[in-house]
Amino acid sequence: MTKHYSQLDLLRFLYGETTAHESEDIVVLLDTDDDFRKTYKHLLSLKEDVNRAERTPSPELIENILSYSRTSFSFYPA
Amino acid sequence: MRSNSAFSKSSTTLRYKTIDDSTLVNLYKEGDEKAFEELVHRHKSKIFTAILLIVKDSCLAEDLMQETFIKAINTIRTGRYNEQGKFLPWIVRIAHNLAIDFFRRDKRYPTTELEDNGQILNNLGFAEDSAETAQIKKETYTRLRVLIQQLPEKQREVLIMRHYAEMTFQEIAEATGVSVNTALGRMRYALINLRKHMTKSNTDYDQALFSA
Repeated sequence: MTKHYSQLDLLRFLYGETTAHESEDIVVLLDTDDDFRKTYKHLLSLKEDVNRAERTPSPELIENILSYSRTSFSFYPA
Repeated sequence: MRSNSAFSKSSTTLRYKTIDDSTLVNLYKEGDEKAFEELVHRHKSKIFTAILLIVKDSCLAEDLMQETFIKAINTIRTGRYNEQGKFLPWIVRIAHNLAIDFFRRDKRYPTTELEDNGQILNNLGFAEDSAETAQIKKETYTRLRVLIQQLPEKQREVLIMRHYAEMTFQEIAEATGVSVNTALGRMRYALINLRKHMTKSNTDYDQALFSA
């Protein structure tokens, strides 16, 4: 491993945006560098929490949207 | 025993779940309403959350989400949709622009609301938790949403684009006119700020959510 990996690289890894080669290097770093691993675990937990913090709109809204789509088909036929 | 029609309906639903967004849009263009239903159900929470995090008001977020979909439906129906395979970033961008237009038109600025958790349920797997654990998680995620709303605008923008519009950092950089490293740096600060405030506001946070 010749490249130095920063926390921004770790972020790219976290979001699946590193190349295969970079990912291999970072996996090795996570096995051997305690600080790097600790930072990764914290970022990973937060990323998962942000995903889980989604809210769902009301069923009425979804029905309105689907209903508009069905109605619009008559004035925009395929 | 389930009837044949129940099996048929279930297999149709399953079939649509395996189809990618780009194909679903093409099927919808040809008049397939089931394809559109799948797109709506697949992305409704991400789109709604993205709007809510910008406007900070769930009633207004619902209005803007409806407006967003009306605009999207009209664009697709009239053959003006040309974002192959990128339905989610496209529709979140429509939502974002409508939210910004609303605040310009209305000359008011968003203030963080206290969420009405009774009406609209979180999209979380509470069923597997005890009532107490589910309540703690619910409160934690509500707090997290409020903290995201309070992030500096540039940090919030990157977080919404990455998480809820599923854009890559390269795409975010291009959309916001900054370098990839700047986009990454904003995301890093957003996550650091969230963690700092979650830890400060809730001493149980590390134990409850950082236990992986």
